[in-house]
Amino acid sequence: MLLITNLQKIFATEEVETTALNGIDLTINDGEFVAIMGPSGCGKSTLLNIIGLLDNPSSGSYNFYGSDVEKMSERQRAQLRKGNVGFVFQSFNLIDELTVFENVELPLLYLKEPIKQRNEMVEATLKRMNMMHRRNHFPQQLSGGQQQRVAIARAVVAKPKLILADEPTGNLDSANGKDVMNLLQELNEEGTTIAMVTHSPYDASYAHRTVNLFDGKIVTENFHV
Amino acid sequence: MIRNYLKIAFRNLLKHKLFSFINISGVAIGLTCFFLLALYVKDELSYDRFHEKGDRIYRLSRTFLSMDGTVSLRLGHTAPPFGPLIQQDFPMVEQVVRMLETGALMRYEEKVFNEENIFVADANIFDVFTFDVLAGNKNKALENPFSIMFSKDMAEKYFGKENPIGKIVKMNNQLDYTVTGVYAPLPAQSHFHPQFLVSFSTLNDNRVYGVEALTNNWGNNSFSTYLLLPEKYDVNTMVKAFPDFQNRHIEPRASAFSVLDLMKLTDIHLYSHLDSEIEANGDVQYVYLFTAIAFFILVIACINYMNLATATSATRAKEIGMRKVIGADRGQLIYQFLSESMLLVSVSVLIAILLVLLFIPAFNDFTQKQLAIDSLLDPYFIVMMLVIWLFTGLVAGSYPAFFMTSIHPLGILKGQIGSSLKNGGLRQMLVVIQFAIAVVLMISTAVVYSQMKFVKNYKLGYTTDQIVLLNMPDDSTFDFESVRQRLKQNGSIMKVGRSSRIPSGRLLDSWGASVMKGDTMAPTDITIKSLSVDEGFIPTYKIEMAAGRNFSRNFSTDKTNAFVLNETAVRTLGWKGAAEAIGKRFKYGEIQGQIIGVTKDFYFESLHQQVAPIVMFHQPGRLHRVSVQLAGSEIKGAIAHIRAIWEERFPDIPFEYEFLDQRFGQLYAVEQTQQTLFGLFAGIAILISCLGLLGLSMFMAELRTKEIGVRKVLGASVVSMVSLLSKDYLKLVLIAIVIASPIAWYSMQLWLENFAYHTEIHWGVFLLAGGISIAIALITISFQSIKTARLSPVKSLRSE
Ligand SMILES: Nc1ncnc2c1ncn2[C@@H]1O[C@H](COP(=O)(O)OP(=O)(O)OP(=O)(O)O)[C@@H](O)[C@H]1O
Ligand SMILES: [Mg+2]
Repeated sequence: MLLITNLQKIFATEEVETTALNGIDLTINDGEFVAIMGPSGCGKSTLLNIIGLLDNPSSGSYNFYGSDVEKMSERQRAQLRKGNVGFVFQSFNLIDELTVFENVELPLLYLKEPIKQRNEMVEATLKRMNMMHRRNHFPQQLSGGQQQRVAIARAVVAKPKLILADEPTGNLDSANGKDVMNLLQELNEEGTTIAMVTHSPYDASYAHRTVNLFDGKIVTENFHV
Repeated sequence: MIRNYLKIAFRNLLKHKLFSFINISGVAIGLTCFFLLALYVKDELSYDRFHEKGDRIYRLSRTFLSMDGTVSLRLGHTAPPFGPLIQQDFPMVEQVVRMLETGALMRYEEKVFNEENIFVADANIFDVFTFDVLAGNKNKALENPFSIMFSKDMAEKYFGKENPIGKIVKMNNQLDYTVTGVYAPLPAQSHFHPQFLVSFSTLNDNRVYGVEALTNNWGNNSFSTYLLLPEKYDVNTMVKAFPDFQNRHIEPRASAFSVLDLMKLTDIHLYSHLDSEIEANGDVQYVYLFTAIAFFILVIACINYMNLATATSATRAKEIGMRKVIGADRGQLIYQFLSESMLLVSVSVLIAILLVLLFIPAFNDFTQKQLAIDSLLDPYFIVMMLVIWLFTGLVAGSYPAFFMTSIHPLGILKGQIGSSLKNGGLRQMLVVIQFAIAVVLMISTAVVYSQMKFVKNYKLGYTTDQIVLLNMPDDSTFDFESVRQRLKQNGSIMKVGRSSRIPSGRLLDSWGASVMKGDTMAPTDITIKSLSVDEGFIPTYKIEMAAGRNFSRNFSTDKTNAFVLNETAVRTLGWKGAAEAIGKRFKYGEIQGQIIGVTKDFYFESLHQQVAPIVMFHQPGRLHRVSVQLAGSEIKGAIAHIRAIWEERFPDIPFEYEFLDQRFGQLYAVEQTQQTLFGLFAGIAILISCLGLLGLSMFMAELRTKEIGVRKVLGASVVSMVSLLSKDYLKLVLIAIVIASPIAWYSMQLWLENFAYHTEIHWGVFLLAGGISIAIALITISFQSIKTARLSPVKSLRSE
């Protein structure tokens, strides 16, 4: 379970201070699928990054599956993140110099999985994403939809408890977008907790719950049944 | 995981082929220079270390003081009585070895050669120095008089495949010597290289030297004397006892003009620069200098790598960011980037080793060394290469590794890295350092060059052109005058003169002089160097007279009682002008006479030395150097003529000659080598720096494509774009010049002080070096910036 209370994030640059998040209270239960929506600049990505342990809050508390993480160092967060959180970005962020297989394998390398398990896990994931036939291709040789499927494969290969997706369909046409949403839904049905930032009400309809952000605050929460 | 790192490193190398090329070749060139210089330095440091007792062997040296206490002569050789007396007076001395170097005409049956490097040595030489005796009995070979040992090379030269032992050779067509042994020649890294060893007991024979002289002659300082001391013995206690020792044995106040000192054998090559040495030594200053240059070049090459790797890291930003997101911690990323630079440096090391193998012969050529390829396999060298490999890899990789991994993953993914790269202060500093080093080396080259030119054009006060030098016996058995007449029959031979020493050599002999003070002759405390000449010497060299006249055959006393001084001698003796000295009574050693002439000063020794006071006079038996002045272009005919006369007169001695200007070339050989080396390394430093600058400017142009596109859309001209892209770098090069100039000025000022006569550093030198570096930098940068500036804005915007 993820437990966020009175969370604040302030970006201080030389000239201005931006309060990106201002008093967020949010609980995400295991197995839940949460969509985060709101206008541009309201703090959605900031919130998602804090949830994913990529960033520290300025104040407030955050309990990540039982650990208080708000005071952790970057190194500790990296340790906790490893294997527990999978990320999917709007711009895929595949490593151009690595093949499909190697991109997906990367999280397992950092988890120091033995080679046999590693190969099995990567192959299983690629099969499931329907990307096995492309295993030796480089990212530039793939379409956008295929790249996002590889990115999802990379996010899930280590079987994380939590997947965070920041506008995963933002760069895709509607057919590919639907494909990606179906994949996320499947993963969620298998028990993975998902938090997803989106601008699309259609995508949000896949979630159990939509959190609406405005100006760094949660304004409404809608539950879908 | 390491496989993943190397895989991605390798793919990145291939992806950025040009950068990889610049990087690898820069580091490889840097390492090549480093390894070559390291071989050189190691060679210099290894002198005389092959002697097993090397750290216990000390050389005795002797310094003569003038009456005012100033040093007049520092000799690496001493008189023959010192050795045995030291052994007798200092019980801790385990062994004493004396050696006398000589040259002789060596004859075996029909084979006759003039040989140098004949060492008359005490029989216990093998107990002190480590020789590999290949034939004969080490302990007995140098016991009996007229025993001689040959080096292996010499044994082959004279005896071919025959067994040398027991063979009889004749020296100087006079005395017979029996070959008692053969030894392996000493390695190049030795301060002496005997080709022959002759038993010391030979010197007891009166025809050779005589027992009397061996025990009494305190004036003949031509014996190298070595002491073998116990381990951990403090030589200072012995040196402190030397004054008393001398006063006891030579004369009561001997220590007032003669000082004895000891130097460790292994220090001789790098630290001993006395007026007499067995061979020309090296200089520890060059060891430092070359070590510094080696590190500088390596640093420049590392800086290239740092700069380019950091610049290219912009393209790696996504990878780094993603790795962090996935859970890599900073240590792992640093590790990754360091292993990447280690990979690259490994490639460079391999290339560098190949280059070293390729360039060793050329390098040997101008350093006059015999650096062997197999010294690369020496364990010390392998360890050093490993250390340098690690060092270079870590230093070169550290900046990109720490820089790139310090940025927040979110920042990287957002493209923050690009903007922080554009104004990297450290990177600018690195470029400044690079160029400063290159500029220092360039200025140094220019200063060395102008000093060499200064030396070549310096008015020496005599002619060095077309003078042929011969080594002719000077004894009463023949009449030189008839030889002179015969020589002059050839139309190309203008003048013939004889002397004890020839210009470009050192003037080492000096006796006490006396001049009139009031009514009596009083000794002066001025050291006046002696030069024995005949009446032909001064005209042959076209030395100008300042007053009086040259020696003449028309005055019979000129051969016995006449002196010619140089102006420096006149000045130091206190006379007002040359004319005043003429006719003055003068006593030199035991010779009494009159000053008949004064020459203008001439630079007999190299320009490293101040002109010394010189007295010239006729001294029979010492005029064995013959100088023949030629004119016209019939050089060959003239030499043939000289040879014909020689072969008629001296049928037993092979005819050999040399030209004076060749000797002058050798006089500044060290500086010539330095000039080449400085020039070479300056070139390399510039080359590597420019490679780096090229890569960097290309990369920055790439990072700024969008900015350039926007500016062009807004109407900027190509010229303004080129200057925009170039001016940052030019600023850096200018700063480098400002930093480098005073450093170069100061260090070259020190260098010039090695010369008693030297040029001043001209400001033009700085202008030149600065101009060249700016020009080269500009060309390098414009190569890229013009291309970028001319890019169509549509294209540059689309590439974002
Ligand atoms: N690193 C940063 N430094 C300073 N301000 C930042 C930083 N990151 C985000 N902000 C500011 O915080 C606020 C929220 O940003 P955030 O990226 O979370 O918005 P968002 O809701 O994801 O917007 P979008 O829908 O456009 O992606 C914005 O005003 C932004 O300018
Ligand atoms: Mg966002």
